[in-house]
Amino acid sequence: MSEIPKAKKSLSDIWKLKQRGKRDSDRHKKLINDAIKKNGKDLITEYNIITSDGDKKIKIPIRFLDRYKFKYGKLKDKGKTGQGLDVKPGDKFRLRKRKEEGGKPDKPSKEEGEAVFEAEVTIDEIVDILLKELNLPWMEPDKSSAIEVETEDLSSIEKKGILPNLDIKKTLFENIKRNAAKGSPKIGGINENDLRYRNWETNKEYHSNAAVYLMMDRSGSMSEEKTYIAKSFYFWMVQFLKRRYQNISLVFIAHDARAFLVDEKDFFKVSSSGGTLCSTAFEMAYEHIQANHPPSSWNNYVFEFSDGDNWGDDNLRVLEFVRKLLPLVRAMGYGEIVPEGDFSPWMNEENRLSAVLDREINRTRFVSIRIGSREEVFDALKAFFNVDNSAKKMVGGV
Amino acid sequence: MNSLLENRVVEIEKIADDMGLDYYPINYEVVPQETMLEVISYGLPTRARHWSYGQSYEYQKMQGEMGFSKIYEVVLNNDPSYAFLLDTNSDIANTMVSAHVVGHVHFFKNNYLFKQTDNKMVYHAAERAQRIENYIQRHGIEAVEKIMDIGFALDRHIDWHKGPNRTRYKKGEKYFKKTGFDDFDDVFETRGFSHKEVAVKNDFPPFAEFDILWFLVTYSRVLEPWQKDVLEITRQESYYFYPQYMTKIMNEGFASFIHAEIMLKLGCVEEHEYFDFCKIHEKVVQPGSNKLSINPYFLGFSIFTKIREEWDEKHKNGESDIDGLQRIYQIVEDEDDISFIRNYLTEEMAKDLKLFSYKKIKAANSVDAIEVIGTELDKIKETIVKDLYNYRSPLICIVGLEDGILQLEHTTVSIGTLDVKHLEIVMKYVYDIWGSPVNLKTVDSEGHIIHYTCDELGFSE
Repeated sequence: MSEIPKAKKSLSDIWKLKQRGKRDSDRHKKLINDAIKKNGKDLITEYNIITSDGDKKIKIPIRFLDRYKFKYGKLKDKGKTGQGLDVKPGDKFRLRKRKEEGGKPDKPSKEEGEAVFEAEVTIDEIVDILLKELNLPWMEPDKSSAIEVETEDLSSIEKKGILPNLDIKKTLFENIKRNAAKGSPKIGGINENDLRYRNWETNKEYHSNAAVYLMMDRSGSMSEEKTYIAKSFYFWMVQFLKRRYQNISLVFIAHDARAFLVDEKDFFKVSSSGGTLCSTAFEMAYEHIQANHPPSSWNNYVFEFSDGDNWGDDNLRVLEFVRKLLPLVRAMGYGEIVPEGDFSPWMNEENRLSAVLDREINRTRFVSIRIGSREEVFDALKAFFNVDNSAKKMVGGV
Repeated sequence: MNSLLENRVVEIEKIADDMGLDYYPINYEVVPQETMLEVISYGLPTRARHWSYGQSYEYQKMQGEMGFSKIYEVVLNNDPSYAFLLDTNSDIANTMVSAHVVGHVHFFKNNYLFKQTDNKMVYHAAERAQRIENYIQRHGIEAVEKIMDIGFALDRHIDWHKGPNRTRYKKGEKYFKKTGFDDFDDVFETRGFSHKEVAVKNDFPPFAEFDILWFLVTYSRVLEPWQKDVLEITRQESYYFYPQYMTKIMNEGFASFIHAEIMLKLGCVEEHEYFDFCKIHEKVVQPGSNKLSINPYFLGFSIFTKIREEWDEKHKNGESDIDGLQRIYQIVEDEDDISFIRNYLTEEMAKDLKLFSYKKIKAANSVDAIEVIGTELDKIKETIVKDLYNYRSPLICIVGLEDGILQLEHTTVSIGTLDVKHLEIVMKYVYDIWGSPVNLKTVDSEGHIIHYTCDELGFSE
């Protein structure tokens, strides 16, 4: 015992404990972020994310951050040992989920086939990373997206006014100030010089409102995969817009040959009925905006997804409503989901809605995008938000 | 450390000395939870930085916050030894833990596996960490991390019997094969004349090599000296940790046994504290409410307690020169968990503890369920020790070098197949540091032999 010098400094100081854990977990977090960046495009359609409610922390598998080993994949079950039960061979028990307990486990007990490390990140963190990668610097709330509204407010303080508007606090304060100047800082002897009134003032208030019209063809030809692509796109679109606007109102319009206003949970359900008239959705959006979201106080976003199986003569009607909508919106888009090898033999490429819109509509506030697979959702988002971005440059706000 | 605890430690060590415990000097330090988590995440708190410690630090923190694990102590195998206690634990809890620590340190100093470890590791790790810090300065964190990742991927593949410090294969170790004929024997009719010994193609390595890191560090031609150093550091650490892995049941069981003994003899504990001690002790050595796994503290403690009774009895009856405690010290010296369970878990004890072996099955509605296999002692022993081999990793060895391709073989195919996702990455690692193609032989789930290869074109089956 004798030869150990009594440590003057504690070991944790000498070994620089208290800093290591933090340093290495910062490093770990950085690697996670790098990994997310590198895989941003994949994360865009990650199921766990787009089905999350957007607020909570979510877990996403970060496979590249495992500690790789030679290890068993599938083990032949040679059995394990249990304890404390009176049993005989052949007895069967159902397992319940249970909390770990007992003893003093000092290492996480990992089962065979150790779980893939899952990073816990917030949607916000991913949005940060994606926005950076999408090169969309504008996603901060800015003046140009805010809408000025004049309001009247009791705020300026004047020496003259009417009694009901007397500001007692300010008045007392003035009184004390005056007494203090005379050497005794106390309340007393209030006279006319102390009185302060609040007066009405005209204020400019900036409303940051967006109405987002999410529209989707849900006729029979919209497969599950196509719907998933639309869902991924819409998830991020809304997440990005949330960055910019304080209030977002979502309007879901589903259509086949007719359009329906639906709520979010029904939106992605595909109906089996055939027939596609995209114009019905645009028409409904047009009427809804006029009735509820005037551009004087709303930034309107309109987007429609379809697989392009639109009835030929409906294209002209779509054009008509898109043109009508253009002055009312900040940005509008049409996404046509056409997986490779998925084509209608009777469809003339030139008559596809995407082609028609591409030809006919001035691109300033409108974009027509074709998406072939999940991997292209990232570029589609980029294209759509670039439209919004250039719209801002050209018109300087709404 | 407050003076109360300090005085108690003095008394604890006096009792320990009287009991004949033989341990390195112990430095105690009482630390806050966060420091404790760090020490646990690192295992060896002076070793070099790596992102994965940050990962386990976060994990530990989360576990702590969720109340899943309560950590009482960490003690480092070193001479002198370092013990960390938690500042939020009561004095009585830390008194018990201090006694527990003495048990661990006796174990470190006397167990045959630990005797082969570096008992100045804490300082060596600090020196090595400094070297790695210098490499980070010179080559950047990414480059160093990459090598460390590779080291950690392979560090379970050591050969304990050959030990951490080895020299290159000697010439004499080469296996020569007599060849009857030379290529020109026919022409020159010199049969019998050219009986010479030539090295067979597969004679390198001369025997199946299980210490993969050692082989690569020693014979790779593409590694720079600093890279070899980093890999060697991870290898040395693996040798250091291996006995801890191999003696978990014994080490914890013994330390629990010792703390119980010492606490019984400790005079300075207040009566009301004694009740608290019993509660904590109970918690540590309880079977646990999880019927499907065994608390190693409990199992080890139970076996040692039983041995104590038996040999005290023998000693009393004149059948043995040594008593229970001395017998326990012998066992601590000579055994590891595998032999400990095989030799000292008795039928009677298995019955008392109601041990049984089981396997997982799928019930009808795909709920997880288990089926009891039986209560036969051999089967129970087998299922307890099966996870203890080779760091629970598949056994993989280097068997040869054919046409410049490094040949690996997975030898424990009867236990299970390899995880291909991991295999791909680790094969790439090996390819990276070996510098030439690598081939691995294993079997698929149907039992067919398959080869995986990693070369400049990537990984393929």
